[in-house]
Amino acid sequence: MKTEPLTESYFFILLCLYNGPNHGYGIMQETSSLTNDRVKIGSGTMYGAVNNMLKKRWIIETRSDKPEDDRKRLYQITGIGMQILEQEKDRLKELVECSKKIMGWGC
Amino acid sequence: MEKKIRIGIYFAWDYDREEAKVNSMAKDGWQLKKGGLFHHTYERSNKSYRYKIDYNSSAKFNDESYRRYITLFEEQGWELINSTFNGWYYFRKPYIEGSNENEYELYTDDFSLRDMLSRWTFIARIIQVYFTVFFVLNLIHFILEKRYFNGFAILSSLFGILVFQSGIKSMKRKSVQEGNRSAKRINVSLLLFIGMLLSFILMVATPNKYHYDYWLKYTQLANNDTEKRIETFTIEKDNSYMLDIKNSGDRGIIRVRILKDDSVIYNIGGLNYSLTTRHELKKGEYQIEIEYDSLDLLDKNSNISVFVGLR
Repeated sequence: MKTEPLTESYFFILLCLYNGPNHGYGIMQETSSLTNDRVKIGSGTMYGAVNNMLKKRWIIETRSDKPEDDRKRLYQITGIGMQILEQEKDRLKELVECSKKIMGWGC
Repeated sequence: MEKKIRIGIYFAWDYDREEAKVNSMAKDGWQLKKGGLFHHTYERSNKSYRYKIDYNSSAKFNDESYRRYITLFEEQGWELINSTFNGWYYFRKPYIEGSNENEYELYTDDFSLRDMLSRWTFIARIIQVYFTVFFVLNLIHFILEKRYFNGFAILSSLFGILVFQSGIKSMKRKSVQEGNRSAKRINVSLLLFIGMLLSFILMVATPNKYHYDYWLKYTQLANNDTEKRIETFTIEKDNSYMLDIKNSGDRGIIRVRILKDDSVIYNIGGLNYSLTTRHELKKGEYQIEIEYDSLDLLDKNSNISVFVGLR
């Protein structure tokens, strides 16, 4: 399966679902804290990405078991999503390896 | 509560300008109550909000997708004010003094912004296709019938295509980094839009007028018992023509004859008629003979009229 590089938003959404289902706000906050506020996923960007990934079946939508979280929509990564995330990680790793070869280990 | 209604048209591709306007109203203490195609309603309030306008063409038609959409926005503190039938959504979020500006961005990368705009562009392209079909159909009609209605419809649809073309162009220029660059384009779209409206008005106002190469209108007070009149006209090239003859006077018999070199090409007589026929006419001089006979019928002080037109 050959895929295009993911945008940062797509990558972080998938990454934040790696350890289990999460809701939109959780994904946004985790992304911000992981990147020290460099990457922020706005709600328009989030909706577009989630919608597209649902269509591509990289993620699915579930509901929370807890009754107090009844309204929350949780997103869960699928097997395809995991594969995409792994591929992207390998691609990024390769980029870093290449830069190291050219620019040295200091980078 | 104090209210204010502002009237003004913002094109879809000026939504960022509209957003800026709503936000500047908010700074002056006027909070948006309802946004719309042609007007905005504001309410006086001391609360401070940031406003954003978003486009979502599909959520309306799918309940699940709509709720997902609204939930994802609400999770980040956006409150839906209202939406329009054609998919524009007005959101607001309480503004906290000194907070980071990117807290108030809906789109945080160009990819997702373009993705949203491309959904609008898709609809705009469909509208353009409709305009083009309308254009072609009217062009065919215009060539065949020479009706002004079709002429103005051609213009109107042409302007329509161009308005959306300029809109699509300015949508494509938008980006997260550079913000709104459409300021200069506005006048172009507005001019095209006015052109479209004008030709549309003319189209509706002239539903049954034709462009005539030759026409004759003969009006006569029916005070004589008989009357005969001969007119001549010249056809400059061999062609197929539509001949309209209308007689509006049922107070006597009106006979119309069209002759060329003393041979009758067309002949009609009667009380009341309105006819359109097609004729192959050769180049040359023609005579129209109009003959009127009151037959001693009724009121002699009314008008009779005959219209003969070639197109």
